[in-house]
Amino acid sequence: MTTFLIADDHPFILIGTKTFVESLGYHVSETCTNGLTALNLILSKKPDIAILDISMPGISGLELLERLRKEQVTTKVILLTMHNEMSVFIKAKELGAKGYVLKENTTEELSDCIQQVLSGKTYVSSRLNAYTSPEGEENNPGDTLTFAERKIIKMIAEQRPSAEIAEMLFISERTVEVHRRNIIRKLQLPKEKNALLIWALKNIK
Amino acid sequence: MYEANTDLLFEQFIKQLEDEKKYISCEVLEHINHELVSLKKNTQENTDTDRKIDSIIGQIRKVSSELRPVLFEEVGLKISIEQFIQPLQDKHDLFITTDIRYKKELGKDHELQIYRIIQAALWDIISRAKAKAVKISVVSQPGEVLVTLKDNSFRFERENELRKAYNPGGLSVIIARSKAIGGKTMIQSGNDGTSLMISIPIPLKK
Repeated sequence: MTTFLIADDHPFILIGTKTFVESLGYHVSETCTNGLTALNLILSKKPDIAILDISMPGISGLELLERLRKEQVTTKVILLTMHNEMSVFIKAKELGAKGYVLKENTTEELSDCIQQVLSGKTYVSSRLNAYTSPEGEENNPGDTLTFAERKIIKMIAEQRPSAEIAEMLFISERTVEVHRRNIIRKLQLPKEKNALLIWALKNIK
Repeated sequence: MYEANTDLLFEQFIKQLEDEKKYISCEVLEHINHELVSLKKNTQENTDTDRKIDSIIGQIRKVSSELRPVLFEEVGLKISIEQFIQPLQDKHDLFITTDIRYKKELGKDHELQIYRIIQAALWDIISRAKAKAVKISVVSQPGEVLVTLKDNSFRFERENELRKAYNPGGLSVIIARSKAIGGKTMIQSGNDGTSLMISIPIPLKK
């Protein structure tokens, strides 16, 4: 039987999450409202899954993840949090979190998240506030390029050599060459000399 | 006659300001958002009220992250800076590269001031300098952490702007903030642009 621990310092949310997880047919063996208690319970009871809040008294969900990693505990951690922030997610991922769900989307996402994590995969909320570049016009091949690549191709269209581009953007000439190769690959340009320059002159205003 | 030590006063003022921001962001606003999530649980999904609650939660998050980088102490200086610059690049057509080789020798208060200094300097570059690119570096060296913002804006114009007193995002605030953590600020201008350098001493271990 899969065992769960849930930790959240907001009693209403804790009860709500426990009721929700139990309604999915799982067994919640432990609940607590403090990060330190959660750590001790995970170390002693070794539940399969721990659903943790991030901001908690004692230690936070992120510090807890770090401690579990050091102790090489096999419990899989799902963070259920109010923080819709890419920086927090990146840190959580770095520390080995398997799932990241926002509290306001518990009913829509937690069930899928648990299933994914149980099957050995990871889950990230689809509502995570990830920064994406503004969308360009449709069918414009330049849209698939990253910000750095778009900036560089603009400078190629201004007929600037790689060395000058590198100097202007504070990057190495080698990095410019890597970007050029990636642009050529993404735009599926022929491998002829000056193919990129010709494309840039024609397509970049 | 009593003379106030203005540097010390400013240092205390900054600390108090950051403490208040942290309190509002981490305690007050997060508490309100938790209350809203509880309210949402009693609301039917996808109704106007449900969507309105989601929208308020989003607005509160925005205010909170503008006040203070979210969970700064735990996320750390490197990730916080890298995430802060992402949307700025596209929005302001500014090419920003980072070179962060910082080995966490400073306390969290000092790290937050470095973040604030970089934030102020970047806003200044965006609003005043005609730069195409900026390179931000935070590098640990023996005895000091060196923070550099090198941009390719025009030489004298930029230096004059930076030197203007009371320029809210400008040099006066950056100098004051760096002084509050024992740092020294230098500006170097050359034909290839302007560099703002802040050297922060690493405190000796007791």
